Amino acid sequence: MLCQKCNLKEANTYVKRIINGKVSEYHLCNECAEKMGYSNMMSTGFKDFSNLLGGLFGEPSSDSLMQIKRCPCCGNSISDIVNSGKVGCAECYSVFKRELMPSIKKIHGNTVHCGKGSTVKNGDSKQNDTEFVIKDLKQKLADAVEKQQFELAAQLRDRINSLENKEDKNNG
Amino acid sequence: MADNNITNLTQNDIVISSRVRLARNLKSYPFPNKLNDRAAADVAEIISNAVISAGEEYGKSFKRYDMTKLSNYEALSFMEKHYISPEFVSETKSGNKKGRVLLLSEDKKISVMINEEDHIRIQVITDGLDLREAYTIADKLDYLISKRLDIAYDDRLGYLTECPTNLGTGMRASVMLHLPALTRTKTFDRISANLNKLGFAVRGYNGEGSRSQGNIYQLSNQVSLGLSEQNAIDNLYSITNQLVDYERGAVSDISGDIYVKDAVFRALGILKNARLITKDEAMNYLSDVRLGVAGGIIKSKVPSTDILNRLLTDVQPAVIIIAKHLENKEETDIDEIRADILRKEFDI
Ligand SMILES: [Zn+2]
Ligand SMILES: [Zn+2]
Repeated sequence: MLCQKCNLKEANTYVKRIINGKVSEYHLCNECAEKMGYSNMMSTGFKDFSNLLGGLFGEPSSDSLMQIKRCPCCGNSISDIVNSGKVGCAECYSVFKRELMPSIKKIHGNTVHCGKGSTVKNGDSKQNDTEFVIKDLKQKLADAVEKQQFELAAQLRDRINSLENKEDKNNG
Repeated sequence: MADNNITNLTQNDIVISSRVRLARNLKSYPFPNKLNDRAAADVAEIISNAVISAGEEYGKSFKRYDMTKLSNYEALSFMEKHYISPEFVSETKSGNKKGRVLLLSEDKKISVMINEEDHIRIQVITDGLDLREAYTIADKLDYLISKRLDIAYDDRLGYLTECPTNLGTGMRASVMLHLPALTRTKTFDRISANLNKLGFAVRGYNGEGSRSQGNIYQLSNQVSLGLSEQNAIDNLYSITNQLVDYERGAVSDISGDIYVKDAVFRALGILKNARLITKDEAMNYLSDVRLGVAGGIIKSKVPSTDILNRLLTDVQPAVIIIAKHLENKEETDIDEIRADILRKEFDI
């Protein structure tokens, strides 16, 4: 999609505004966004940007404006991260904590660091315990299947399922 | 060769090498994918200086290579020697990544890639199965570097990395395994699927996504968050030792097979006599000869395990081109030189 201001460049900044309950969306290119003080907004905060945009689009300044959430340090939105598969900077992890946690959990099966620099020792946290038990059981399950001990395998699978269900509930 | 003692300690007939890699980032700069050229150059300077100074404190001296100043073949030969990742070469070649610097220790065991996927990638390679030694060195250097730089770290998520798959310890530990018998009996495919379920990744000779060459595989930990470095390394040891046992079992199962014997002796004949040999051929025949040695099929004298391991690198194309100053010659020259290199080692 082309930038709605200059109509020349690819839009990569998405702005969403709500005026009297009516939603308007704008797509801007980097340059136009920057010209409007977009990068300023990143350091000076929400209100300044809303004024700038209000000026640009000739909207009353009392409008409420909802800008898509961006990292103040690198400018990434969550969709930038999802599309590239790469996080923009260290700050992104706190800005998009809520959005990123589910995939982090999916990748590692865990969301608490233990190891160098951490105060959590191995197996200290309950979550880690369960993770290890499940991992151990899964290994036993693979062994049982390989040795064609299907009755044992079925029992192991039931235990793994019940532990995994319990853990999902714990983690909300 | 009487290298049985070494073999027993580090299993280096099957475990060719061990590698530990730590990913680190500066707190105050965006990750490499969001750095412009100038900031990337700044990052490269800051980190180079810190690593060189850390090296001095450690008693290790590092040589600096700016990737944009290396020729393509020099860069590729570094990749073939596993000093750097394939990504570090390919993205540099396509010209869109500035500020990529390699710091290589004098003994070539430690390399630090700057502005790869993360600002800092510390990598230590050791011969045979020696992950703990590799980790000890990487950990020490990391400590000395982090005394000099502000590293991105979160109490909950650990070391913050560009790709969430490296969060936590930022560590990938891997072993390079030669598994000809498990491959030949098709056992490895099945094992490999289970390894993935258990949190290990299996890759080919040249790392990420590359196909297996000469029955060589890289096995590494997938999980870096919620598992300490020690635990990840212990797990990798135990899996590796199991695989070594499986491989040894499979070798004795198939070493009586006439087809296996035939393949082994043909390979030996070609390595001793061929005048032209491609890289793929070399990798496969070297693999067959190693299998022949492991299975007691070859009774005559062959190069030691150390030399066989070194040849895996020596037969790589860019390594040959750089070693023999052939940057402008044709492919056939390389095949001829490769055959010479191999004949020289096998003529014993
Ligand atoms: Zn525009
Ligand atoms: Zn960011």
